[in-house]
Amino acid sequence: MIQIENVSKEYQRRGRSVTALQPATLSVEQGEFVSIVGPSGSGKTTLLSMLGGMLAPTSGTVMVLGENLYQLDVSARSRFRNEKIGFVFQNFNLVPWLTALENVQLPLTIGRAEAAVQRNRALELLERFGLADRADHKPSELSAGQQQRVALARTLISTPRLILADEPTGNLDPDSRAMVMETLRECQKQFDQTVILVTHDSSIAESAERKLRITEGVLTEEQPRLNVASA
Amino acid sequence: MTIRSLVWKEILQRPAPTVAALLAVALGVAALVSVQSIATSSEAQVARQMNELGANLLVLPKSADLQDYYAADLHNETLPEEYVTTIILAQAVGVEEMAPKLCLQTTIDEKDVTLTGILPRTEFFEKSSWQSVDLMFQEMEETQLGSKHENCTGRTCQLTDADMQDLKSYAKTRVVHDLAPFSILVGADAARELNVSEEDEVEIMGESFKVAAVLPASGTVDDQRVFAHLHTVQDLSGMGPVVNVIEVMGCCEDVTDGLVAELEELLPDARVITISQLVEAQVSMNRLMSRLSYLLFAILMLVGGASIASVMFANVSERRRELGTLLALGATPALLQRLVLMKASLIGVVGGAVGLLFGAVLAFVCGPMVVDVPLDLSLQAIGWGLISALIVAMLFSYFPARKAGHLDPSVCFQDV
Repeated sequence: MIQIENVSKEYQRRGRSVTALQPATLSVEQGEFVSIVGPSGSGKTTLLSMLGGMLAPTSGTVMVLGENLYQLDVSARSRFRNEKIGFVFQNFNLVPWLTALENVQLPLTIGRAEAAVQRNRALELLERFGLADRADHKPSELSAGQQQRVALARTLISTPRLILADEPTGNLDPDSRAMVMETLRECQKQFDQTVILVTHDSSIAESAERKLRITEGVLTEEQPRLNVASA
Repeated sequence: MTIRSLVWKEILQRPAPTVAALLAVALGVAALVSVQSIATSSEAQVARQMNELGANLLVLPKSADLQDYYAADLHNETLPEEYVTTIILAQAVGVEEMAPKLCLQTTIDEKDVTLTGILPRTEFFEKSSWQSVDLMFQEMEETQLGSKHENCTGRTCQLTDADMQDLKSYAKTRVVHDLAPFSILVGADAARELNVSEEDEVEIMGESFKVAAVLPASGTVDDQRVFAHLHTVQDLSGMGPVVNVIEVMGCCEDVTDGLVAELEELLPDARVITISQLVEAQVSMNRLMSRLSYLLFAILMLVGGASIASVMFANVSERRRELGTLLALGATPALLQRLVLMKASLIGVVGGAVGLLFGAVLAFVCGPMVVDVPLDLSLQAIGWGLISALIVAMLFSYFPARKAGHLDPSVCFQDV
């Protein structure tokens, strides 16, 4: 599913080279739930961006679903992201001037799906998340938990093979947090989706099948892959 | 939902900057459309006047200042009326008709009016001093006032006796066959203003006048005038046998140059000018106005373009995370550029249309105040305005669009 080989990232800041990620190699299987932990500024989001095809590594190769992401041109990479990868953000990143329904439709709008397909699929997902009666509400009219559910619905509308979540529960109350995690796990099981989740919450990190840690740009595996069959 | 509706919804969400940019464009287009329409209409009016009055000449006092053919008699300088006789006796080639005039500013029912004395054609031949050449006059009365122009290519004043006898035709022909001493012809605007109609009695400077006809609108200053017999106006003014101007109508433009020379020689104390000389200043003014309108348009469009660029740059900066999120969701950089350019084109098209409407209203409302002519919209200005508005909006949004296309998608993870 994901195969990264000697991937590193360096930035130039004020004439100095800053290493965000030391050369790392990692493989993730289809359907795995992987958590990444580490202190702020350690390189977690950098790794997530590179896996999502949004940040070219300084060295190494990033293979996702058999595609060498950074050998694709920008448009092909965008299309790949639209069809195969879903993002969940800590701050939800909903478009403030669109309704919940329109926000959920966005990936399909970008992919030029038919209007009726967009609408039906979005309504279906909002109903699944208990937000059918909030379809016409703007994000500012929703609670944080509701906003994250809308964002989750937006992520799932294109049934991505890979979900990249950047501290998705960071801004949520305990009930909403539990609901988001439950949804991600359900998706993983129901649709065989791979979930890679960056978190500061140790209990969430522990509950993943694999736990990776990044410290000062060095990626290490803290909790190796579980043998699900023997667990 | 479509990409187009995405653009529209964003504009509706943040209308103020968009409206500001739109107004800047609209202002440029409005300026172009209004000024060009006024200039074009004025040019058309001048061309019409040239066509109608091409072979006409004005005989004026040397010191008279003149800007408008139809207001040639609105000054205080005078000529002796006997110049009319002098011109007739000279038998100049191509002289068809003559219209001596004297103006008097007065009031009717406490309303200011210009009372203009005109000499009916019959009177040319009745003055005692002219009786000596009675036989010649009899012949001229039936034809024209000067010598016949051989091989004439056209008659600008194709007046029949019936034309001249119909008092209402004065608005067009500027000549009447006969007018009683205490009868008046009232211009269309003046009749409305004074609330008079035919057969009404009107008191002017203590004398009672009968309205012989209300003239149809001519679109000239004559619409605001009241016309009476020249000799009556002379008596009322107490100025004696004088006129402010003698309008000489030539048979065709071929005779104009010869007539000017002949009349200048005949009347050394007078100034003889042709309609072409008179409109030359107006034509130059129109051309200047037209050029200035393009210059004004260019400046306003540059200001509008800068405003669009500023709004678009600010828009892209404000929406960094939003645009980053769209990139994360699979939007290509080209799509983000298109979002910006679609918004710009909408500003250009709507700004152009608003400017066109505003310009048209401005031209129709203010145009008649400026040039006193019926207005027609300049299609050329409309075309230029609309196309330029679109091009300027797109051109000045190119760099903001490029900026959107080059956004780092990782910005969606940042707390901006």
